[in-house]
Amino acid sequence: MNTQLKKGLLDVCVLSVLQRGESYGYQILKDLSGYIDLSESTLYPILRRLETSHAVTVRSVEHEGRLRKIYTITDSGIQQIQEFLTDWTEVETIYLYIKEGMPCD
Amino acid sequence: MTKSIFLQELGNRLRSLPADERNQRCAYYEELLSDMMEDGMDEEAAVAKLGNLNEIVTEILQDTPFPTLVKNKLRPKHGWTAAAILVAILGAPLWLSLLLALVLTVLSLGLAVVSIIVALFLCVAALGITGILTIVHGFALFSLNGATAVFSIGFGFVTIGLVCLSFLAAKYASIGLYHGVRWLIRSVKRMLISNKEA
Repeated sequence: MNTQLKKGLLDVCVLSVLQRGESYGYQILKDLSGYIDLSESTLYPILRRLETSHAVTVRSVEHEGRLRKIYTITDSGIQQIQEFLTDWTEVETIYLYIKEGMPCD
Repeated sequence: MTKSIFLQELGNRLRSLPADERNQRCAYYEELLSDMMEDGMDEEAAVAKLGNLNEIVTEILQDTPFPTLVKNKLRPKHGWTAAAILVAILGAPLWLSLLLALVLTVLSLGLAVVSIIVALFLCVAALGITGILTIVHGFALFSLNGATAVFSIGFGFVTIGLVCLSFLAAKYASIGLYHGVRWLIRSVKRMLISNKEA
């Protein structure tokens, strides 16, 4: 997939995982593994960006004698997903236009 | 590589980052590795899954804002001790002027890039205005000299056509310039990230 296109999708993918329920780094990677190629080092800046933009909140909980960061989506994060879905209808229109312009095999 | 060696190595190589940022990065990888192992993965396999350490470090440092890297690069190795402060004060005439020169060079470079982009689009706008005025002038000339009027209108349309082409040229030149500056910043960043760190 095109890097720029993928970059825009990743934030929404992570938000979508969190919309299904609060989660943590490794679980987010596991949940998305079948859908999009997301590396461990790529996830960190995404989570930081979402935290800075108040799309998610983070809290540390104790788990098996260590700390684990739990991420929860906020109203602002849900709004970001809704905006993405609205934008996507425009993308679909553009996609159909581009596809129609392609010569038939 | 074991988890503790990986984390120790990662911390060592991220010395260019502020301590707080470095600790957060290490904590993130520590949590990931612990979760992977809890999920049944072998310790070495979990570390291997994270990928090449050099690539991880380079990616993290490239992701760090430029001023943060410079600030940490200039910080004394053993913190601001009395000796470091004394050296900084005594060396102020030298490093302050060098720092000022560096800041001014960066600023002037930024201004030059912005000026070039603005100048390119102003040229396109000027060409567009010339084209429109030539067409208007051509219509005004019709009652006086038909041939000159037709020539003027034709020339005006040619100019408008050139505007479309030059707009595209200006657009791509600006994009090229933007990527050039980004490449330059990344190169300087790579220089700041010493071989020992990445």
